[in-house]
Amino acid sequence: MSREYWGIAALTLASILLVTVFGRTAKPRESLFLFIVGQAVSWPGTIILTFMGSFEVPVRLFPKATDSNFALAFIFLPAVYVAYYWHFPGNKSRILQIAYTLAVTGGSALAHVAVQKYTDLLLYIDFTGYRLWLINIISYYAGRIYCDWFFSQVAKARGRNPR
Amino acid sequence: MRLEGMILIAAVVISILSLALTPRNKLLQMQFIILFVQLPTWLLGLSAVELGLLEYPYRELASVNRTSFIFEFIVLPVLCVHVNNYYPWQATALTKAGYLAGISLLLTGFEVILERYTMLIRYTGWEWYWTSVSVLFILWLTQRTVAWFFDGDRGG
Repeated sequence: MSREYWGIAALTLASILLVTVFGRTAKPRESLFLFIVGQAVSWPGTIILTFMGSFEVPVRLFPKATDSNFALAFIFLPAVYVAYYWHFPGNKSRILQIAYTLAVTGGSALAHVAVQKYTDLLLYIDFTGYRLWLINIISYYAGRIYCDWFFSQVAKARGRNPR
Repeated sequence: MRLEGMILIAAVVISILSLALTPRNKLLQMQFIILFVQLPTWLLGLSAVELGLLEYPYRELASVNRTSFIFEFIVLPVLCVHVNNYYPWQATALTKAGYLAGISLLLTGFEVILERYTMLIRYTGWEWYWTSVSVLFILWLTQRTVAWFFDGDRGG
């Protein structure tokens, strides 16, 4: 098996670990929601960035159907977001929250850079890890506000019509 | 502009505007559905194109994406929102099945017309009844998931 297939296997395994061990299996509904919110950013984002020529994906899943990176954008990045949300230190100081956000978004950007550097799963044409870091910070922040709001609304609606 | 381009633009505009018809008490479900439906549709859509069963000769983002971006991300999610708005939760299982099957057949009819008269979609090994079955599956899965997500599991 080539290095690229090991890469896809490792990304998939890491994603499973992120949503189970580092996520919260006791909250499957919220976890699913976090995952699809992450996907709603990363998958169309990747398709559009690929379209704009920011990067290429020489070896990929669904090679005939898409030129975008399915393993990274459809599975791995949303899984990171799930783990990020569940461990966000909401009741700690602002400094700690910012440090946590920088660390997680930086970590996932670093994984992206490592994939581009060591495998043919990704090739930056006009893109950098820093840019992904920035996109991550903005989208994680906006996504967290949205998910907090959504969960509180769902809880309120459940309160009106208890099961 | 070609007919295909006009159909795609009309599909996007009508889909987005039609979301305004969603009743206030279903707005949370609307958001959930729009986010959720892309997950199964992309898996199915990419698989069908990868297997060479379907082609979308005239499409958006053509150079990087050979499935229908607008269908997977906008049209089908919005359709699922409307299906959910009128879903007969209290009815018998038979009525629910009939409701979902009717909608999937209606959508299949549209697709067959588009397949025959435009370059938006071409069957290269696909059959119309596979569209019916896969759309029916997506509609059913969406309703099941909405029931599970918002009410615990009371059965779709």
